[in-house]
Formats: sequence, structure tokens, C-alpha cells
Amino acid sequence: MCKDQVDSISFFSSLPEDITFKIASLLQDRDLCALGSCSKFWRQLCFSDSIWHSLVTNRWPLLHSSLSPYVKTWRRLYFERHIELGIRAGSVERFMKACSRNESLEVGDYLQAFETINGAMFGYEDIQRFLFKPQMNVLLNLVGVHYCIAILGIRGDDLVDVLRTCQISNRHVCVKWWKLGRWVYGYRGRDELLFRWVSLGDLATEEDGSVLGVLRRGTIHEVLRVQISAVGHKSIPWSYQVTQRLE
Amino acid sequence: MAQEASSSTSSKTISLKTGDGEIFEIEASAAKQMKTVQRLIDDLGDDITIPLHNVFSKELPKIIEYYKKDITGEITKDFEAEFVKDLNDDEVKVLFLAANYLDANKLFEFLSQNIADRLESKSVEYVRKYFGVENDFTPEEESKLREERAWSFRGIKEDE
Repeated sequence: MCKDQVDSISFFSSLPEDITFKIASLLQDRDLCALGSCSKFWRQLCFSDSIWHSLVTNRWPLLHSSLSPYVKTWRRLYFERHIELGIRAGSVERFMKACSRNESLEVGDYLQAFETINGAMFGYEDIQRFLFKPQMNVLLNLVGVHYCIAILGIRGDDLVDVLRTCQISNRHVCVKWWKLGRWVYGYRGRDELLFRWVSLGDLATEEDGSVLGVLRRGTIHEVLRVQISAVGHKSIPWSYQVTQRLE
Repeated sequence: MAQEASSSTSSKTISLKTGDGEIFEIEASAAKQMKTVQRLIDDLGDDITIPLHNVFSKELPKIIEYYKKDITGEITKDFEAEFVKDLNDDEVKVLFLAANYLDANKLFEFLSQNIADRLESKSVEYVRKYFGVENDFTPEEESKLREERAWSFRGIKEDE
């Protein structure tokens, strides 16, 4: 075994550069930095701009094309963007926490959080890394799911697989909305409180997108109030005349 | 002689001798996928046993298994997952070096990705040990690098 180790040391340090570069080119950002912290030789290799160029391109294809003339080093750009997005996600998380009462959030605040993410042009990997964490509030996960479907066009089995990998596909949210009774032939119909208790995985595969539609439209027309909550429907605090659970 | 070879290529087997003296048979069409072996065949002829000084009896059967599957066009994601499932990180490394030596491109590509996947979220110490790298940083340089990593990847815990 000792001999094997010695062989492997000399073998690897005498490997042609393109081979060590090959493995480095396949590493994710964090692992590349770990490799670059092993020795001076590897540091020089892992700091090479062409590797970081392709990492930037793969993670943010649109960003890359708009920024190429101004870049100092691709590595620097990669981390500046990564950190900026992390900060943005953190501020959204804090915002949502500050706005919620009893773990419930009004749709206006929810949509503001959504817009903050949308405005920063999060990519698919960014959503997974910053919004799909199981230790975060499920409402933040929800923003991520909603964003993937509405903005990135990712839905169905692909999205569910990712949610499962991130261990959040079974987390649930409750969406409640209060509709004013409509006027029909001089009579006002009953007000309704409608709600859906749904898992993130189900939302990803929802055929009619009705829950996300409610969130997207917010309080409009006859919909007086929309509330999203992390707790179940059993603890409905509003007074109501009719409760209907939608199938 | 070339004509003879082509008409019987499909059933022709080549003998390979490992660095530790064991002999293995492989089909000529599979041998073709390993450019180093093919070059040796071109130079030495396909009737003699091809010596492979840097490949050993532990890994050659696995490589042969891979290319046996390859020539029937049956390599799937499931097969590849199964292929590496029971291998530990060191065994994969040895296979990878052998694939490089044999210039077996498909296996080489597959194993490079597998090694990259295995290194995911591993600590610096682990990576260093894995590649047999000697640390030539001063403690100050090391802690500076550690700080840099911690800052770049806030909130993610180190492995080990």
C-alpha cells in the first residue's frame, strides 16, 4: 500500500497538464476552490481564467454575453455575482420573516419578494442553491418554485426531481383567498373563503396552475385578500360564512 | 495479412499481459477502443501477447468489462452507475490512471466526471490526500485561503 501511495504521488505530479486540467474543468465552484487550496501548483491551475469563464457561461448564459468586454477576471466576476445573489436571497428571507404574522404572509408582500428575485434575474442553479434549502422558510421555497414555473419555464417532472433532491418536495403551504360574493340579479351572493393545502411537489406538476394563478393575480376584482401560510388549514383565523375546500 | 485480419476481426481476440504478469483476452474490436493497445498491435502484430507495463490485474478486467459492453452499444447511464457503484475512491483513481495510460477515451471521460462528482463538497484535506498532493503553503497562506473560501461560500459547512 505504501508503494502504491508513493506511485500515485509521483504519477499525479508527473501527469500531463491537460489531464489534471480535465478534472479541474469538471469540478463545481466550491470543489475547484478546494483543489486550488491544495498546493501552489494547483492554485495556479484552479485560478486559471478559462475554467472560470466556462463556469460563468454555464451558470449565467445571459449575463456572460452582456458583460464580456468589462470583465477583469472571470473568477472575480463569478464570485461577485454569486455573493450578490446570496445577499439578495438573504434579504428576501428577512423581508418575508418581518412581514409575516403567525407564519402567514399577505400576497402583496409575497409578490414583492417574488419581484425582488425576478429583478435580480436569478438562474436555475441560483434558485436551487439559495431558495431551495430545507432549513429555510417554506414560503421562500415557494417563491423559488413559482419563479421556476412562471419565469424560467421549468415545471413537471424535471422540477419535481430537483425538489426531491433538495428535500423540499413534500413541504406544504396553505393558500387562502377570500372572494366577495358577486352581484347576480340584484342579489349579492355569499362571500367565500377558499383554500388549498398543497405540497411544493404537487405545485410543480399542477395541470391547471390554479394556485399559482391565485398568487399571481393577488387581490384583484372580487378577491379581497390572499394569504399564504406555512401552517395547515385547521387553524383558519378569519371569520367566514362559507368554507370551501377545493379539490 | 491485413486482409486476413479484417475478415476475422469480429472473432479475433488479443492477449494482454499486465504489469504483474497476468494474461487477459480481449476482442480485437474492443482493443481498438484503447489507442495505446491498438498502437502496440500495429507495431508488434496481433498474434503476440501485448505487454501493458502500467496496468495491473486488479483493474484490467474491469476495463475489459466496460469495453465489452461498449462494442455491443449497450452502455447506458444505469450500466455506468452500476459499474462504479461498489468502487471506492482509490479504486476509481487507479482505473482512471489506467484508462489514461491505455488512451481509452470513452472510459477516461466517464471516469473523469465520476471523480469530479466524488470530490463534491469534500474538504481540502481530503482532496489533497486523494491526489497525493504535498502542501507547500505556509500556515498564513493556508488560513488566508480558508477565509477566502468561507467568504465565498457562506453558510455551507465543510465536509468532515
